[in-house]
Amino acid sequence: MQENQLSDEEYVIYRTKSSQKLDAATAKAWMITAKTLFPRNFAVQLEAYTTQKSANNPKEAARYFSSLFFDFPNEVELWEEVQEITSALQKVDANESSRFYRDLFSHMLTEVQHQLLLSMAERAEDTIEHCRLMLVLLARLPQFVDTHGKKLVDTLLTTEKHSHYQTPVNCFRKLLVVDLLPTLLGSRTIDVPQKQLYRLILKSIEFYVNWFASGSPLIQGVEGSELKTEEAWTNLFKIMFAMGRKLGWELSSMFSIENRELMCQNLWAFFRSTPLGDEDSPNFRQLLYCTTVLLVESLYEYMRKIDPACFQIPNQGNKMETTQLLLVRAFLPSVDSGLESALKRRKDENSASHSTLNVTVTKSCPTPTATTLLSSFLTAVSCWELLQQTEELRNEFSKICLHLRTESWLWLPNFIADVYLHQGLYAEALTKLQSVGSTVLNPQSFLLKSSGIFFGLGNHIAATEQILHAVANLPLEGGSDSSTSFTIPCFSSPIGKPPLHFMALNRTEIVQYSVSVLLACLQDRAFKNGNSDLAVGHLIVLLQYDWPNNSNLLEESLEKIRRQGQFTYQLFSSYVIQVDILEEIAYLVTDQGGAINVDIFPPSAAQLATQRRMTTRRGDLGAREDFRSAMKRQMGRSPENIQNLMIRFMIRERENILQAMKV
Amino acid sequence: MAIACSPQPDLHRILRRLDFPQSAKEALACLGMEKQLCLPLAHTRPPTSKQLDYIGEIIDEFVFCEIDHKGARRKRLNPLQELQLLEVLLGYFAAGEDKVILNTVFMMLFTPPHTPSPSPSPSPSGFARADVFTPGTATAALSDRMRILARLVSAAVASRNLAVLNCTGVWMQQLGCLSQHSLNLSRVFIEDYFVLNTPQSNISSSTSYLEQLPQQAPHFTSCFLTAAAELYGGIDGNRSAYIPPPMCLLNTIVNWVSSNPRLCLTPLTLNLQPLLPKGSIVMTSVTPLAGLLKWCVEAPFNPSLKKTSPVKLEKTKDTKSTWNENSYYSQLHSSLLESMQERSVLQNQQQLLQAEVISPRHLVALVRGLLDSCAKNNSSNEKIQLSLDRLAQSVQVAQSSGCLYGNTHELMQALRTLPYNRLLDIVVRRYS
Repeated sequence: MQENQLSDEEYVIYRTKSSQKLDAATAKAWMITAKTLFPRNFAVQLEAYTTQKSANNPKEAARYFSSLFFDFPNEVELWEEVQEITSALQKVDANESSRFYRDLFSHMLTEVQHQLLLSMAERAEDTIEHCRLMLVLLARLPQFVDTHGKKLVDTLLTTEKHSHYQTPVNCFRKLLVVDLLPTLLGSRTIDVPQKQLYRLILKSIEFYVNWFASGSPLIQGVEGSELKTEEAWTNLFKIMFAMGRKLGWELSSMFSIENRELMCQNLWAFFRSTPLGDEDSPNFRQLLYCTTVLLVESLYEYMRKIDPACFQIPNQGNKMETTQLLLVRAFLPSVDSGLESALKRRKDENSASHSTLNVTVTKSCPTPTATTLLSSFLTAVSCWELLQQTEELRNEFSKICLHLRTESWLWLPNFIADVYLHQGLYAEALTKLQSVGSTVLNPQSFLLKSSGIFFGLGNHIAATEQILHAVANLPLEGGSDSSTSFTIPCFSSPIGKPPLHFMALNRTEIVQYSVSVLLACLQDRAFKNGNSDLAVGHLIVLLQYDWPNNSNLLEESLEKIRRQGQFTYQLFSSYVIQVDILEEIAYLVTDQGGAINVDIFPPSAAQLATQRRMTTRRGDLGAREDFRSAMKRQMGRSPENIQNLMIRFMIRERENILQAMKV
Repeated sequence: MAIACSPQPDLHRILRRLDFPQSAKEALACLGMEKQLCLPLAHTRPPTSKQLDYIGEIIDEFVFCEIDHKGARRKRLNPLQELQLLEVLLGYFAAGEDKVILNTVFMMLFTPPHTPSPSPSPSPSGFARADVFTPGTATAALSDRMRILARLVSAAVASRNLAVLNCTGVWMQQLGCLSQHSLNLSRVFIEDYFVLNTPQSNISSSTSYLEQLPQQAPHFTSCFLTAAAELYGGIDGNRSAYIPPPMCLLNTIVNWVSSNPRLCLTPLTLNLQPLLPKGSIVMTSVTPLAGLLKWCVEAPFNPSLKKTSPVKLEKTKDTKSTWNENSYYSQLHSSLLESMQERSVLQNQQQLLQAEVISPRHLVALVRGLLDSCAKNNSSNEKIQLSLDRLAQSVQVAQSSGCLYGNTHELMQALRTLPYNRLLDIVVRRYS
């Protein structure tokens, strides 16, 4: 087109554009001229902006854009640019164009930035977009949180209420809890009513807990997961810290403490030193909320350690050992040989609140994990106990549980059963365990755990039944990894709480635990007055597993046999192969040993033919010879895998074992 | 009646006992503080002529040593004594705290010998332009007192003596930045810093002083720019030859103006009243805008610029300096347009003390000069159009930013007499 056919505006734009190719200063002179000459002409003004934009000069472009923004609020092209800016602000990509828009924004005056985001938010078509833009505004310009914060909270709460989401883990809640609250609480001047703050605390706990419990990082209505597990609790703690500061809580500072046990001590100290007042008093509320948060957090850590599969999210990239752990009542070995357990590791950490620690962790669990596990468990227990201290606390905590729908998490009831177990309240523990049943625990875990509880209740028959049931499905043959130290160590508990143990749910430890339970159950039977050869025999079989631990039980058994002067046990040849034990039995038969009449080997074909029983009755030299060679045969079997032997014993001799219990 | 009470003959007697430069130092101290010679007149009321005479005697005899105790003329200070005097003066102003007293003393020390009326006249007559461009001659035609002032200013820039520079700025504005005295002073400064001592002369420290000058002494810098702009280019309505500014000066000015958009407007925002003795009348300031815009508009006619087409110039190495010079003017021009736009900002912030930024008379004079240049046969249309584009842009931005104050009728009439230019046409139609 010829220059002289252009309109004045077009001519000036044409000269501005063409001078751009020559040098920047000339172009700038033309641009200033054009802008002042046609201040009401959008095309001219836009050109001034576009020129700076294409020259990648965000500072100048920001100046031009700012005047465009205020002078031409109705131009579509302007809003397209605003759209570009706001979407770039929500990204973090290194895309050149996005970076330009972010720089552009940063060079604008605060008032322009504010108006720009505000009007874009007001133009947003749906509420979620509106809220998102308002949050961009508050993230960039936190000084405006006093102006917009409270209204945005209300908008988010109302919209969530009317939304179709069934779960608290939805986009509105996420914007409220993750994005808005930290900024809102960061303002020292904003004034939020106390009641609203309490409400927001519950909303925050509910969101994070349900997010963890959901087993998935996804948040409904949010694309991808922006939330990281490691940050989630920190975020909640930060919220609690800021909330507490706003509410003037003495306890708020505890959320800046790293050590959970120390936090727990703070709570107890507060409880003991401060009159709580009624349910609505600030002291009561802060203790209730702070303790609940700490309980839920430590419980989460605890569950994560004992059952990694329980939460899918935590395993994002962080590969953990997959063995499940199970908290069971521990059984005392007679000889304390395996004391270099988790117990010792924790000795110096023992604090006043856990003056006697009688919980141990399987050695298959690495020390750091074991330490965290114990710490989390004891913290959770301690918080739980704190929340049960008064009628009011119990009631209010129940209300929170109801609100948070804790029954649906499954892991809280399971934990409560563990707490009862820890407190030695076996009946309650059993009730709780049976009420959740196998929905939470797999059948095997359920049986193992309840077996210990039955034992605690003195119901040894039931304990035995549970154990025999639990081992019923173990494979008969397996790798012999019996080298693992399998003592279930513990100290006797002076304060009346039973010793507990976190066992790994693998074949070895299941066998180990089952043997311990059976040993404990059979002892009573074996050493009471009257004939209990079957129980003594089973005891001798089981003693082989952890030999020479519990060797005192063998001595006691031999003593009893000596007193009786005879001993009959038909399963002997099938299951007793331990050399030391065989020698002791063989010695019984000798004259020096007391020449006890021992009937433990089934008659051979020849013996049956001669009607001669292979007993050790004095004078029957042939029989003695037979006995000796039978013993030799048993010794020959000593290299057999003891673990497989035990399983075989427990599975095949189920009826025999039960019979010994019932006699 | 402070002065009446003071033992006047005693002061003379005391000072006469001292040797130079101690006598000069003591005399200055007396002017400022002791014996309260200047204080009352500075803060309370205008001095009487008798008081002025008395102070003048002290200055003549003890500071500049121009007369002896009998009032007879003495011979000039030798170069060493002159240096000693500069040192005394720099020290005195640097130590002073009361700005009113400092300005009063400065004005009295450097009252021009045959005071021409302070006038913002755009075309001061009667100085030999040729002198300026023969290095080392700038001070030749000056009186002793003015020569010492010029040396003092150069020394103040080098030693960052802002007190002296601030006083000099006030002095220039009060005498008129376009007055003979201000022009003379600026010639010496240009000679010292841009002709004899250029960045090429390996004294890099002086260039860094210069870089920061607009921030440190904005008023002085602005007054200097007004005067410097007047010294170069074609003389309006006068047929004398086009004199280009030294490259080094041009370069520095481009840097100053482009990185300090409000520099040229400094005199409009600085209230001198509280800095001057009671009863003084603050003189209207003249911004450097008109003079520097003239440089840009006239630059295409600069005979030393053989080629003006920037496209070709960019490529070839031979013409690099030419291209640089041309691009300096482009840059200076766009920075000046930006500076003009700053006026509205200052106005919105209510920082403007004076409405007039550019007098339409200055631009009319520029147009007249331009007409002559265009009429010359050797000017290509390309040059003429570049010049007219810049002129039209200047007028447009000056108008829209409120920099042109007063009646622009005459200016529009004058613009119509120029050769056709599309932008100029648009602008003239807009404002006629």
